[in-house]
Amino acid sequence: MAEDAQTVTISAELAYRDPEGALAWLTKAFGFETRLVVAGADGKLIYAASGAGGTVAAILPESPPVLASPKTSGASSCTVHLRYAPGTIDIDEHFARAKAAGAEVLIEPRQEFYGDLEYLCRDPEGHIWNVGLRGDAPPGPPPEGITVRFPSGRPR
Amino acid sequence: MATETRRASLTSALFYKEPMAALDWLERAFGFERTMLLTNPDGSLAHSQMSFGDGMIMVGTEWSERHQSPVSLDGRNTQTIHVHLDEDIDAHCARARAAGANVLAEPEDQFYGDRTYRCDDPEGHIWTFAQTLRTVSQNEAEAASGLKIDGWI
Repeated sequence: MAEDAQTVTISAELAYRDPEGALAWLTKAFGFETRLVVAGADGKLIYAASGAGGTVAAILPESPPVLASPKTSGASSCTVHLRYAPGTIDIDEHFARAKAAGAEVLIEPRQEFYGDLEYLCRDPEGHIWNVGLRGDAPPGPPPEGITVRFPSGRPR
Repeated sequence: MATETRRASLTSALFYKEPMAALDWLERAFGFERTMLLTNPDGSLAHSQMSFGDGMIMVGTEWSERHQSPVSLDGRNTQTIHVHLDEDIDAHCARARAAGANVLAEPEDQFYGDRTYRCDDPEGHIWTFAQTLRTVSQNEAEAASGLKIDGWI
């Protein structure tokens, strides 16, 4: 790790059949910047990192049997929530760019009860991205019948 | 390398057949803390969040055929989670093992300066824990590993 490494406490590592393709798509669709690519002597990518806004995700090749792209497994065991601080992006522009790059739209941008403006899409290998812009206002009440509890106290 | 102001976050949401049991286990094994629970009218879990230091994860259910636990996917993970520890990774591993974690890779120093271990949880989600022991430059890392490295973080 570099001396000025910005360590994120918990980070995601996504498996792809085509990690180079994934890096290119994340740049085209989300404006991500590829930060690191590690390749073996044979030139094959073994690890990469890409992100935006100071956050980064690891992009990995598949490693059968336990690490597989959603394209292989048919479903996701985990999804990622990309969240931007209030006022830092225009969610409709972000959505339009992703859609133009070929993202499969699952949910168009909409306001959630907790205040975020978010959309849901699938990338070319089926990884599900929940992309949102945090709201400035305090969250509204949850939908009818849903109960919210904060066991450690309401977060800041 | 220029330091970028953090204006975005990337949080993983993991799917479990038994999310309430997962919350209990992640607290016991890894020291995570549940911070938010959303429950349905029938009392079942809709969504939850846990924190660990300034990090966060979400724990949910198999709420569609596209959102499945590794248990339902023959053990496959489409993502794994990397957790940075500030101290005592060996003690963290011992605690996880005592709670029943299946340790896949024992704590070991890596060429890039971190000491890491990997384990999976009762439903097969894979977790990598890392503690940075020393800073390593890109050149040092390349020389030590024989790999080709573009960029550095």
